[in-house]
Amino acid sequence: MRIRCPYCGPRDHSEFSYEGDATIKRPQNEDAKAWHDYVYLRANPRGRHKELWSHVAGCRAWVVVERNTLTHEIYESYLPGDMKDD
Amino acid sequence: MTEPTTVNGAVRNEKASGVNTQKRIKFTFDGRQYTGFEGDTLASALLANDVKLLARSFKYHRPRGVITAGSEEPNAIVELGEGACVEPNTRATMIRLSDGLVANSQNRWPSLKFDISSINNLFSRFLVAGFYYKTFMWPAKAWMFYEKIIRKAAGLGTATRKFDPDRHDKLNQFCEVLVVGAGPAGLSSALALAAQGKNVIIADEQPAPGGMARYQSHDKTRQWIEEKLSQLNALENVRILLSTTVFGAYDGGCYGALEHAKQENDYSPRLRYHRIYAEEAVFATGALERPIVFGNNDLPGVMLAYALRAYVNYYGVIPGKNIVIFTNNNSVYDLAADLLDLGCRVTVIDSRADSEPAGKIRDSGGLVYNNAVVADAKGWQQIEKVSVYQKGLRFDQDCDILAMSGGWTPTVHLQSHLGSRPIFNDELLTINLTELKTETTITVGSAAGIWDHGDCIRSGEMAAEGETAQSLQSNSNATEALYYVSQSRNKSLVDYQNDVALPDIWLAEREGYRSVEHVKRYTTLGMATDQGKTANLNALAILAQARGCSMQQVGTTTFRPPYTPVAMGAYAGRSVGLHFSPVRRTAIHHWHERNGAVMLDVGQWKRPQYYPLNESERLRDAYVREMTHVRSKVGMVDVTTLGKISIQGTDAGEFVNRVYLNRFDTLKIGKVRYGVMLREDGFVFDDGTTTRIAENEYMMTTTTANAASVLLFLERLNQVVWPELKVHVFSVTDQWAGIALAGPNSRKVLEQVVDDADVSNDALPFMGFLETTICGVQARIFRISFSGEVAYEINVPADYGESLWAYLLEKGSNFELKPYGTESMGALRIEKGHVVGAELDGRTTVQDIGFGKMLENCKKPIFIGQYYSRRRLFNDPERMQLVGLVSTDKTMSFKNGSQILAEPEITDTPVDSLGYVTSMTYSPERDENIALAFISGGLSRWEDKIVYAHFPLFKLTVEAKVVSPHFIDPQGERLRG
Repeated sequence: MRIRCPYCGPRDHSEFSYEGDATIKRPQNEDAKAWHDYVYLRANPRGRHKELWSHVAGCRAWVVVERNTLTHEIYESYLPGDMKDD
Repeated sequence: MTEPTTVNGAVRNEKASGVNTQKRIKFTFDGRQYTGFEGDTLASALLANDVKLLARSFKYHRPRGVITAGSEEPNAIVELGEGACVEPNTRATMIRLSDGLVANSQNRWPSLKFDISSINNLFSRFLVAGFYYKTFMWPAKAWMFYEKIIRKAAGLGTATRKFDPDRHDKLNQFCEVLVVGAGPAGLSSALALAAQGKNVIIADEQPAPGGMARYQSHDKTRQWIEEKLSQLNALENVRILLSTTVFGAYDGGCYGALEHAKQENDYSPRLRYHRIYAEEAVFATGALERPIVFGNNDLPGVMLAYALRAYVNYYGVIPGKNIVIFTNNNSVYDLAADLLDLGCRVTVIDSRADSEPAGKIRDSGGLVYNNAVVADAKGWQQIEKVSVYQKGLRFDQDCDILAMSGGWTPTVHLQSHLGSRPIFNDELLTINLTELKTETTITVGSAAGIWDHGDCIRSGEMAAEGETAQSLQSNSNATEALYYVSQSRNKSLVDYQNDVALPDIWLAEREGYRSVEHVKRYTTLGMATDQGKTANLNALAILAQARGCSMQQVGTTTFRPPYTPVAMGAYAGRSVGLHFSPVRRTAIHHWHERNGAVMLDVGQWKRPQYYPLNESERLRDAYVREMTHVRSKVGMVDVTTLGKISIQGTDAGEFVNRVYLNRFDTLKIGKVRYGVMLREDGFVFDDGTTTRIAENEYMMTTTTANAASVLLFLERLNQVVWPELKVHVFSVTDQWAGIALAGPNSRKVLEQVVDDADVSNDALPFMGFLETTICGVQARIFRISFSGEVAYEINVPADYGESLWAYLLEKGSNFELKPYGTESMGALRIEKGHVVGAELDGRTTVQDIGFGKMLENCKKPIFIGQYYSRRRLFNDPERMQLVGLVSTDKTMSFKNGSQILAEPEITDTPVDSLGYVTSMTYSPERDENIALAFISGGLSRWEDKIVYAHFPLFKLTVEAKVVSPHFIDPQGERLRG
């Protein structure tokens, strides 16, 4: 599997480290449920998913990878700042 | 008719194209020397020397010979090589003969011809499917005893425990199209694609291209292969990988391939693992011939018809003169003609009522029986005759080889790896892919159910145009649905390698294992090293018949990578031994080595553990000596391995402030502060000191162990969580060498080395920072202390690390400066009561380590752990909190991991533990054995009380008094002095 790093181009997945769900947002308030969900709850979607990968053995950029968890197809990858809310 | 030539007792067909009879090769099998030719496989060479018995079977120890001429071989499994190079369970059909090759049979004792365990064969009616599960269930404890005996009796070869002396390589390959298989379909497809200008890799597991077409006797076919090969060789956009098995298809167009490389010299690799990235793939993987299940169908001398054809025409080995061919299809008649041409006696037993090519064979002097089956093979350790059953009549027919063909099964493993599921096709009478084409792959030739040579070539060319050849699919061999012969009372093997016979499948079905996946696991069918390549389809047919349902209803099992076994060494490549993981050495490493330091692995780092005075000084004496010296004089230790992270930008202050629990935006330039970092769940993550170097620049230190994870965490915060903060974070661990100078004389030493800086207590107080020069070299001096003494940490650019170390030693000699290692460094910090990874194990809170005030004072709106660090339960007085322990008996020392109880004896288990010991040492200053521990209720409940540290594994109990974890100088007067 190869992942496209916005800075380095397509690179082998072994250069990356998987860092989980890219859609979680750090709460701006002290809401108990929001914090619980942020720290402990992760969706396990079937199909298209936004994931964070860190190019640890490369440029060390954090990359959002849109990947199908069922077929492993990678649709696109971009920097976290370019992520649009669903 | 061609007259065969006799060489070294081996009869070779001189038309053989696969061997060079000019070049003889000597090899050894089971201690006896034989001669073969260049191009031979171990199997062909042994057959040429009339060796038909090559192995004993897995469970019943039945005699076994060669049955195939390819990688699907289930029977001729041997041990290759000797000593450290030994490779068990290799297929004799895939081993290329090389000079001095040594191979041995396996799973037999005392010898291959006389194997004691073959007595299993007599009791085989009891050794049915599930035998072990049923028989050795009770008593449960006895399984430990049975297991050893069963494991000894069963199984194939034994792996060596020695280091693999061979080299293996790993490489990445990139292409536009990968063509798997260099038979007629693959060759024609690769050529057509190359003509379009595509960058093509064509791979084949055999050392020569041509696939099954190589085994034909026609000169025209052989010329066609030669011609295509030379055309491909001439093209720059084509790479040909021979002896290379594409064993797995993975995500994103990645394919795994294993090459058995030609070893030119001692340094060239034996195996090459290719990771091939291909935009598209053409699967021209061919088809595998199926055996027919009949009585004693595993007797040496019984082989697949294509294999006999390969041995006769390609390797030139004529393993018998009197040959019976048992078939349910037309594909064997070319072989019959070839054999007649060579002067063999040929009898064809054809299960079908009539067969169109039979006439030609009869005309050439061969015998053909229609409506007939072979019920049993007979003979002692090799075939002597067959029992034929025709229209209710039984007769015996002498023979020395029985060739069989039960039809052909397309090889669709790689497509299955990618998620395609083959189903049984009633018209083709074999399994077939429902879709020959996916977005990035296309299947051609026999793998697509196309049998005719010309049609295979055509389908390869069509694939280059993106067209599938569904229209060329047919049952052109007129295969009949015969999978097993029911007229036998002898053992009829379905899966040769795992010794699964016909009744095992029936039994599984009767016992309720109806799903094909269950039958597979219960009988172990298809689970040997050959993955049941020759067995699976017959098993499905037998199960379908037993269940009285269609083949489609039975379904198929899933193929998973690898297609053929891959040695672990190939995956490892060069990453073995010292190359397994990078070794990190500090800039001062070579000094440590030259001066006899005992080095310790700390993650990837090498660190000096202690510096023995002489050969007889042991660790315990050395660290006590070193730490006593630090407390009385001065010592220095290499601290380069601490993580160092530079944080720069206009928002650097705010960023660091959010990362730590305590405040850092108020930290003055040129000051150092100790910080505790939490995780979002409120527990302690790491600690360290951070210095404000300039208005917008901070330098953070982390523990050696957490350096990588803290950096990754900061990068997440920087790039993902708070991208609005103008700050940049990067590791400078490798840029700076670090030396800590500690002890009452440390300032005097420092004064000697700095160029012209004031390092007095007023100018550089505790937690102060100074950027200066030493011998003109940039030096950063941090007044921090891990030992509890007056101490300085000096950072210089890494290249100057060893020079500084040597310079300090020279200038410090008047003050008795001596190096100390990590062992005394650790002991010093235990005396001082500093926490490290042993205490900060991810389960401790700031309250637990005595920093509860830090949290109470924290009024910051945003910091990591802001919500969960305030959990009510974190303030529960029952939580285990950091305390010190002192052994009441001076001769007794603690053990890390001891459980703390209020009682000296454990009378009843389980017991509730009060806590546990995390770090222990001997304290020379107190002349006592001390330890850090976590204990429920902490110091407020237990101070000065007696507890017991139990280590039941060593039957060790230490009586201890609970004290403050700060064993020395609790007010910190020394380090401020």
